[in-house]
Amino acid sequence: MVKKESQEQTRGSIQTSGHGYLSRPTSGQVGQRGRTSLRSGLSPLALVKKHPVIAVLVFILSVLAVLTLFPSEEKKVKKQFEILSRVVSKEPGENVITTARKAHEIAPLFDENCELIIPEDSVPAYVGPGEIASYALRGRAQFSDLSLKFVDLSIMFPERRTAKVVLTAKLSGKAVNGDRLDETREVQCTLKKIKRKWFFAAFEVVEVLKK
Amino acid sequence: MTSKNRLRQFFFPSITPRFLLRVAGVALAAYLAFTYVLIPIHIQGSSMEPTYHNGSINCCWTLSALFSKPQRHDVVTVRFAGHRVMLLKRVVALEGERIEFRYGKLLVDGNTIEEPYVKYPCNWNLPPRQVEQDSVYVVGDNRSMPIEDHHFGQTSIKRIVGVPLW
Repeated sequence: MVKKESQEQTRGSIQTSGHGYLSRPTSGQVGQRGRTSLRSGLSPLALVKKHPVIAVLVFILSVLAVLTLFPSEEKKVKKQFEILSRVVSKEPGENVITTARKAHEIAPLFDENCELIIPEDSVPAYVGPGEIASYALRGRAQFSDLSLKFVDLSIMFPERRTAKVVLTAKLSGKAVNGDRLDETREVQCTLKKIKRKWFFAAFEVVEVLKK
Repeated sequence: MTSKNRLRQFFFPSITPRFLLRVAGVALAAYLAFTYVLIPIHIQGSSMEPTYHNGSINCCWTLSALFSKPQRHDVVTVRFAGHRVMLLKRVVALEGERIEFRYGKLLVDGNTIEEPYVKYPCNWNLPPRQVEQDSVYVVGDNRSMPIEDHHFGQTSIKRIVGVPLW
């Protein structure tokens, strides 16, 4: 008998929750409503209607999670440029461990045969990842601080596993002898996708002003 | 409505749908204007001294490049890959013209061009070269540095974004 009474009370509380939006519920009633909605297994649509703020938050978090866990190819290409910018840049007073870590990170970004086309040089050069890493390290050693930034990236995918990127590269810094460096160039880059990872395959410096 | 109420309404408006719509409209118009028509620029470098000083602020008026071709002595902004970084230079020769520098003097088609905006001494020498079709030749006003250190040359008209507003 006691058990039956408690069941009736539960049913009563469901009814109360049904009228909750019309009357001003007490804090106790709010608690009851929350428990019953979970127990009764309301449809997602009903939950959205009941808790719109939570539903919006859940939706935003889900979208963010999907975007983070499954980035688009464009985002993956951009990420490669971010890594290159980070490993080439140098903070004033960079310690040996950081230099060694960055040196280790440069070579894996490049394809086996990376083509370099510079307007001043008539013949394009083909260099391997190891060579590029050693060039970069030698270059970094001449500067006390160095910053490489890529802006205005325009990414196209002419083929499934090829990305063409047109961008503005801004290299600035202070040499060990005190000279300032401030170079800006338009660069056309080609990236190749090998085993789900993008590698830099070609860099061509575009001549914006031709003397 | 008293003037005090009006003032309060102006600084602390009621958040009505009409007000929000107006705010969205103003924000959109400002975004479009300052992204495509009147691009704010921060001048870095001394290549255009003394006409434009290092560190000064200006705006790039893009409609001028859209409706008219650049003329000699016009100051223009030349883009790289996009509008985030641009060059500020002066047009000194137009398509088809032959340009050269002789002891710091600018010669176009063999005639010396007066350049009142060049205030610093210049001793540049550059052999004659012809400006290609759909291109202009641009140089900075500050030619006091060696010619190798100055960023100048021929560029496509398509790369010209606009002119500085003042």
